[in-house]
Amino acid sequence: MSRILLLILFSCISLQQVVAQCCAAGNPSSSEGGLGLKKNSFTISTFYQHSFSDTYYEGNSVSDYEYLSNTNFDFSLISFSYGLSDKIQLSTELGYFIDKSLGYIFSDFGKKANGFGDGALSLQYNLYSNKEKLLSISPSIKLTFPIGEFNKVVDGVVLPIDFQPSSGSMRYNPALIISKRFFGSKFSLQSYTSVVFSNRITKRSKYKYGNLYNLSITAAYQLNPKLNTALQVKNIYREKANDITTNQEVIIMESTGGHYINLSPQIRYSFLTNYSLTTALDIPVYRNVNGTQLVNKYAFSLRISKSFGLGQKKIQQTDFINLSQLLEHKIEVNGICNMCKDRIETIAYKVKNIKWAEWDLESKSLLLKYEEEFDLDKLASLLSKAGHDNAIHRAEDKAYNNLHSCCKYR
Amino acid sequence: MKSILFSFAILALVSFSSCEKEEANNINTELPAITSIDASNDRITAGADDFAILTCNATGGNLDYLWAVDLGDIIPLNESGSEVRYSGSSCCVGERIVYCTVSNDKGDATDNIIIYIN
Repeated sequence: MSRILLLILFSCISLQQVVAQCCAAGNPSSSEGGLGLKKNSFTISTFYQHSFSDTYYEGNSVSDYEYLSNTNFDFSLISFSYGLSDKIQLSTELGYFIDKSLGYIFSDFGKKANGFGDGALSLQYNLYSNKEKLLSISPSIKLTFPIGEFNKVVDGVVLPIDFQPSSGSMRYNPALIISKRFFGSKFSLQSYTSVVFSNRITKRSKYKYGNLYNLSITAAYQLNPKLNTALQVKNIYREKANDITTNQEVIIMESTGGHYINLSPQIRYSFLTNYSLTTALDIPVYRNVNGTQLVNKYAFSLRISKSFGLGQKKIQQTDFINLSQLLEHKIEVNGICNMCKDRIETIAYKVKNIKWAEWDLESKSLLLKYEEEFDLDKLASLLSKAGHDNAIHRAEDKAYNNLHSCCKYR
Repeated sequence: MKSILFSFAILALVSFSSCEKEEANNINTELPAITSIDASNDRITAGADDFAILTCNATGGNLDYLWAVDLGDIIPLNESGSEVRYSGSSCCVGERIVYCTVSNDKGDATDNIIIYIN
């Protein structure tokens, strides 16, 4: 636990040079999979991201190439997700660039733009869900439409396609999310594998963005019922873009695409009723660009979400389970030290449906959180067999005597 | 009272439309036509050091200039926008078609020039 926190803290303070993205437009990636909503529940989210770039890379090292002094953007997005059934989730989103700007090293003249980016529609299906093993597999498909501005004019110049708010191209994004939870739901691992296929632009240009392949692994840990932390590793590979000349020749754009690995520490805080605030940093740790490209230095984002349930009191958001929405039970369990605490909590997580277990040394009270009814007698029995007296069963002497010497509470 | 207000309204309308007519009559415009787009260089090297100066020569009077290219950077060099600087970074390499559209109250005209970024 403390190691995870240290890792996140270290990641936050060691902002290094980050990801490259030359010649790209449209919405930046804003979400990388959740595990679905329950039927008739929905979530509205607003998302904000700031990104800054000021360094050129050639291959995997810093280049002294100079052209743009810097680029940055402030991007916002509103998204809406709805659980059509317990297995199918429908989502839609619309992006808006609050500000997108760049500066040149050879001129005081810079560029600024704002406007609507792309819209997207996605469908996610919960293909496999094993509540006992806390494992789920969900494929999804996302279609991104270039509905925003693609002919933005600034100072008598139509902005180049890579600086327009919209990408100008239709994109198809199949993805697979595999999630495994541990210790009830206190700790989870999630993989997000996706491919983004971009269509050739048809207006103003015949440019085609390179396809993008992404594998992200997220480790999430629930610090307490309101606070979650996560560390995401994003492994991104983007193919080279290509273009068609007036002679109908396809030419490969050599200074596009590359391989990037980013670390993204994230914190999510749940507040009020079904609100959550998520912050994330995007820190590049490796990049190997084709040719010479401007790379991102850092990006950070904020997301505020509100979940609603139509006719439901509790809403399951299984990417980070919201413990404040779970049912609670307390049971008195005897113990005397932190070793007892570890043992008692570990035993509790072995009982099906228990999502959260926390034993308090002072009060000797074991707090349990659960989505569906669990077998309390089974829990009490397991605790007594491990040597811990509890409100339901007293531990036999043989079991008690097997406790470590520091755990003898009688 | 109503008739006085009505008279003022008519007077204001007449005065306003008179001003517009006067302004329009002061500028002799005709349908725009681009005579040429000249480039100081039609092959440039990607980067900050090399660039082409593009000049759009057009007739028609009271012209607005609008430049467009899919990749690369166009920076206006004069107030009218008839002359621009064009360059591109390494990700813009290839054949780039730069368009210039001139327009006024009579209409518009568009032409283009191809610049190669190596």
